[in-house]
Amino acid sequence: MVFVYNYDLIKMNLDRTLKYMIGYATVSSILLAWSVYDCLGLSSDLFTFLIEFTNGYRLGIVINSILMFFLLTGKILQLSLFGELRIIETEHILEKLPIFFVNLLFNLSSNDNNLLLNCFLVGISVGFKIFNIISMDRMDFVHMKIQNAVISDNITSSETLRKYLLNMNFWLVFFFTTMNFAIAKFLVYDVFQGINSVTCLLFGFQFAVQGVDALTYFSKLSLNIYELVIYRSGSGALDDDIDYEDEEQVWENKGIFMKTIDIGSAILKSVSYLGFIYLLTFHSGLSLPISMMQGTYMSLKQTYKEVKQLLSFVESSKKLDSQLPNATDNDLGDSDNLCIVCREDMHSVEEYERVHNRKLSARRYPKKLRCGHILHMGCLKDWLERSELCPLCRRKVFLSDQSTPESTNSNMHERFDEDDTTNNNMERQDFQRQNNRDIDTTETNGADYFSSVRDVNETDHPTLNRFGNEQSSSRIFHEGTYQQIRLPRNALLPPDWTILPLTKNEDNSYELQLSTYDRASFRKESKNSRHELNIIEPNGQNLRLHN
Amino acid sequence: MKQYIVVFVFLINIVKVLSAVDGAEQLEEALIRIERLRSQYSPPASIYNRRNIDNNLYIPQYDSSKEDYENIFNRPAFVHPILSDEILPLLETSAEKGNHEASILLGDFYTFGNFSLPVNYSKAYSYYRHAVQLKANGHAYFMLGFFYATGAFGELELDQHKANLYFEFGAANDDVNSILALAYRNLHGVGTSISCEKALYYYTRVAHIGMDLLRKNGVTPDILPIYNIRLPDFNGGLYGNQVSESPLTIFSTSQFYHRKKNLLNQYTIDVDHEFIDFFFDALKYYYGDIFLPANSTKALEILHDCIEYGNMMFHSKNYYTNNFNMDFLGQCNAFLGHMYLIGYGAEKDYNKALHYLEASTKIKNTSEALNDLGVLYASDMAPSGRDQVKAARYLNRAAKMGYNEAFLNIAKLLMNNSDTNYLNNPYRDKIFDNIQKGVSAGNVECLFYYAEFFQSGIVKDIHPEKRYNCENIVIYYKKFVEKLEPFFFPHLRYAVEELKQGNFKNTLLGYSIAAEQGAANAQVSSAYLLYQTQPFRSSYKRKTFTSDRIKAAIKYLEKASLGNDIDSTVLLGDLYLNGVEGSNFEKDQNKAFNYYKKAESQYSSHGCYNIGYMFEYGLGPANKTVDYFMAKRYYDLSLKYQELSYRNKVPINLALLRLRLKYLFNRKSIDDHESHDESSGWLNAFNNMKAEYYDSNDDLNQEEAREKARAHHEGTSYDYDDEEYDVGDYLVLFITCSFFLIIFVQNIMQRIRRWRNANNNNENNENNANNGINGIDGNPQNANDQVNARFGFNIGGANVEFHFFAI
Repeated sequence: MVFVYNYDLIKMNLDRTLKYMIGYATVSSILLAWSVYDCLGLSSDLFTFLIEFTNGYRLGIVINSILMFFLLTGKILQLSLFGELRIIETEHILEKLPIFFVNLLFNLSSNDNNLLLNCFLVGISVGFKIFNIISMDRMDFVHMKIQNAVISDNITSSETLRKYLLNMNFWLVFFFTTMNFAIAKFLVYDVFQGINSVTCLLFGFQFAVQGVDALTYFSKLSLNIYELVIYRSGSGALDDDIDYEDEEQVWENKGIFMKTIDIGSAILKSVSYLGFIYLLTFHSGLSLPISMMQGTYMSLKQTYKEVKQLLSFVESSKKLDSQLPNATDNDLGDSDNLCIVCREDMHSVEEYERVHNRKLSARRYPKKLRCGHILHMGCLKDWLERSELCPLCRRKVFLSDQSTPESTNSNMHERFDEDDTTNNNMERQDFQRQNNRDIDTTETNGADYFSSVRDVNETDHPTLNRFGNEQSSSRIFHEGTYQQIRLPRNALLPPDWTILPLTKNEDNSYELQLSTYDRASFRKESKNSRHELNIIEPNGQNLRLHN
Repeated sequence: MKQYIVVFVFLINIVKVLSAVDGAEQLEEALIRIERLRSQYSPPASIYNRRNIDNNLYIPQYDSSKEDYENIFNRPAFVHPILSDEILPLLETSAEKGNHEASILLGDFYTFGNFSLPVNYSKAYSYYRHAVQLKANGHAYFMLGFFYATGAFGELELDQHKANLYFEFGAANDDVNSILALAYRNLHGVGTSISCEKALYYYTRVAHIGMDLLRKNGVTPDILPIYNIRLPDFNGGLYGNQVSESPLTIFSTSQFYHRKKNLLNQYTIDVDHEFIDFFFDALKYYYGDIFLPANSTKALEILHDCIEYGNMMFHSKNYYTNNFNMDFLGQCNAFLGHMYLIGYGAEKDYNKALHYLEASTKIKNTSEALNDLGVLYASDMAPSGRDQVKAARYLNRAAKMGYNEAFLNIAKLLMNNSDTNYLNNPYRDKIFDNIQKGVSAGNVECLFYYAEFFQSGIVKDIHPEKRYNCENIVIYYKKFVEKLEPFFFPHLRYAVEELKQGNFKNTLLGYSIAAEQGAANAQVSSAYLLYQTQPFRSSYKRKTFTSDRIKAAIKYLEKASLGNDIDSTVLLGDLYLNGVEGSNFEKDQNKAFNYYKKAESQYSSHGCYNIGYMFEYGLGPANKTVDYFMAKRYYDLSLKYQELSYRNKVPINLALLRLRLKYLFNRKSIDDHESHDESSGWLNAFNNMKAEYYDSNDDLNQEEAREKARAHHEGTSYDYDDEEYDVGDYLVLFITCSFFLIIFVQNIMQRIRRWRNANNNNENNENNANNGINGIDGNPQNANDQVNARFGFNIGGANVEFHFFAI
């Protein structure tokens, strides 16, 4: 329901955008034509024409036409290269563009008063940024499709490789990566030829950073492809034999490589940012480039985070086997013995040996975390590459259980904040994939899904929900406790909608938790067909259902 | 009008002296008829006036078969019957009988087209010839010389040597026009070799005549040079308002005062504007301009009104209050005193002058009033008798305030009003110093005295370092002469009058006569009438130009270029570079380059751009090899000059960008040719960047260039306020406005939505009421919703305000 609604909304929006664009383009073209016509009457040679054409308010018209040109080319390129944008792509663009644009405006603050060139540079930068975002997102999508195809259709390595090489998006990512560097080189190199323009330099640097990001993405993509081609393809259908080939199906060191790439790119970025700022401010004595502040801060922070993650990953993978106990049959029996990561059954070591008469591979050992959740060791290891928290309840896997709700909260935010780096695009994609699978299963196994959601609900914020937790048999939140609802990650809440927890009492009446202090109760009765349900915004105490 | 007067004065002399000559009766009869015609004749309504000429002056196509410009105003050719049926036949008979005066009169009629008579230069030529064969006459010789000098732009024979000969005849017969023409021709070597000494001789002669006239007539605003304008300036200059770099010559005093008045009125809303209005209106009529003839009596009246009003307002007792209005009242007084002092608009009345001037100084000391008082006391006619001490005190005070006339008057006082012996005057050092100051402050008469001092040779005794230099002195005399426009360039006024009527051929005649006599602006005007650059798109048909006229135009442009007119120089360059469409005009890239180079030496952005262009495309002396480095150098220079004048730099930036791209793609081939020492290396590059970044003040006289840049706008100096806004400001304004607009629209939408919701609810409630289930509850709910709706709007309003304050 929710998805359909949103899709319609966006589709409508697109249509309207198209209408606006056509209107805008028409008005702009008319203005431009008038301006040209008028100037032709005023000028007798090219120089005079150009002066008149770019003088006063006519300059505004010219700039507007440049804007229009960029918009139209962008739209046409988008339609011809990518077709309609997916929701996630639009979201990414809307999410990243404002900050980027503000940064660009800071670039213009250097006193280089070449207005047209500046407009052109901004146009090019924004255009490339958007196409970078789209092409990466689109490539993720393609990658996922191919991956799914590899798993389900049993394709050979060469076929997988060919699928990539024949895909336009793959080459687009490659193209944009190289173009970023080419433009950066052009803009920056220009400065060193003695044609000085600080603005060009700043823009060039921005392109270089973008290029580094794209290159990082591209190399990680290559790693993923490599993994897919070498380890996954041709591994046969999913049957019981899979257990034997498990070891070959996973590229153990991929995580390390990924991390190395991330760290390398982060370090490269921060070093070049710092170096550049040094050169500009101390060496050349120019004013501090404000537009670089954000980038510098982000790159330094990212470097720190990546290194920390790598260290903790290395440590945790050491500790993994020794510190976490294998789950026993009883443990598995208490839960649904399904690994949340790979959605496959888990068997205790002894049980497996007893039934199958052979040793369980180390990756399939069920490991019980401190919070009580059980996962395959291999899956856990993969997960730990990205996070040191339990995938189910987000408590730390290894540290002593002192984690406060604040710390988990901040960690969560971090996870959401991370999204603007390509590094996490991949993660996010992976996570989405998992969630997709989640949804798939919920369709068949609704009860299971709800129980897992409930799990999340109850265990997420232990201190806050302790009261509810203790009375886990009852699902009613009592007065005085906070109330929380955790939606699945892919759920979308329309802008002016809200969600309130609804509980059913024994006597066929319902209770609605409005806030910590208010609740409403209502009762189900047979309905007179002439009366419609009327919902009024909960703007006070007087929520009432007329019937 | 002037030419009529000239003609008329002539006629009176003729009648007096030569009544006995053959044909005198007819001539007399004709003169009576002319008088009658003058009283009956009213010139057709003028086509151009103050309001419609700006950016609207269009020179039509010249039709060489009709020997006139195309009649775009559709004016019927109408010759008054008295002229065609009575006067002309009478004059012709008289001329045939051997009356050379009648012959000259006929020549003038056919040259100047008096009383709308269609001109005919060949007829005029033959009548003038006929006249001088009968008897030597300076005017006739001058006109013949003029016809030979210009060839009447293709209608007659062109011969510069003959022209010189006739001018010399004219000069020998004491014709001032001829002397002036000869002076200029000798100065620049037109039809003769350059001879500064000869030019100096002629200019000195004219200057002395001018000085005599000045002494006789007194210095009144009548002698202000206002007709020596460049016609293209009506359209913003030869290259339009945005590109032209020569200072604008059209200075409309009436518009200027009008604008100034409005400006002052805007700034001082709290006080009455009467005095400001009085004062500036008086100024307007006092000076007059091209389209508004000076009216001294009216100015006098207004000033009287002003003072009467002041007496009424302040009862003459609190004259000493310091007030914005009082300042203008004081200036009214000063002006009135001045008018009585010089006898402009009224008889000279030293008593009245003294009264008003003293009233003025009681309110506020202005340099003009102080100077006038000084003049008054220095004069024998002063009511209290001549008082040199007082005079000197007043003049010194005025001089301290930097008033240029005060310097002249001090010098005159020192000369003891005996102009002849100032060279042997014991105070000659002081006199010279004051004259010099007066020259630099821009006083016209001082120019004459300054040149006199040099020519007499006593400067050597006073300032041994200042050396006698023929060229310099000629310049001073020339400037002095050119400032006395009504005496020496009467044809300029004729030209402007004819322009107002849309008679472009006569306009050209007037301006070309002045151009032959060396008036630089007139040279540009003549060139403009002969050849106009055409816009890419025009509602008129594209014009063609005969090679005769193009040659003549180029000749005038060259003369104007010699007079340091930047736009003419650049235009010459353009003509030589691109040629003229539809004519066999010969291109010469080297010449073009040299002209651009000359413009460049005068800090012309346009010239620099064109040089850059030539280098970029390998034109001219570059010999088909592009030189991007030189091109960049000149584009940069162009950019700099453009920046100094706060003008549009975008096209130059574009050119630089284009150059950059070209360089990028052709680097290899260029680097092969030129072994450029690239001191590469990152750190070096950054250092260079720093150097260039802070390198805003460098070598060249920026002040001079800036001065030049300012000059173009001098005529319209009050537009500056508008131009200071940058495009960026407009963009910010636009963005802000659209931001508020969006918020506003959103608010409105919200309000409408809420209103609609409220309505819906009403309906629902009504339904409910009808159903009788919730009838009692319905009404309060309804009221509540309405309150909500109103409240929602209030919040919206508060939002807008909030955003407003945030910005």
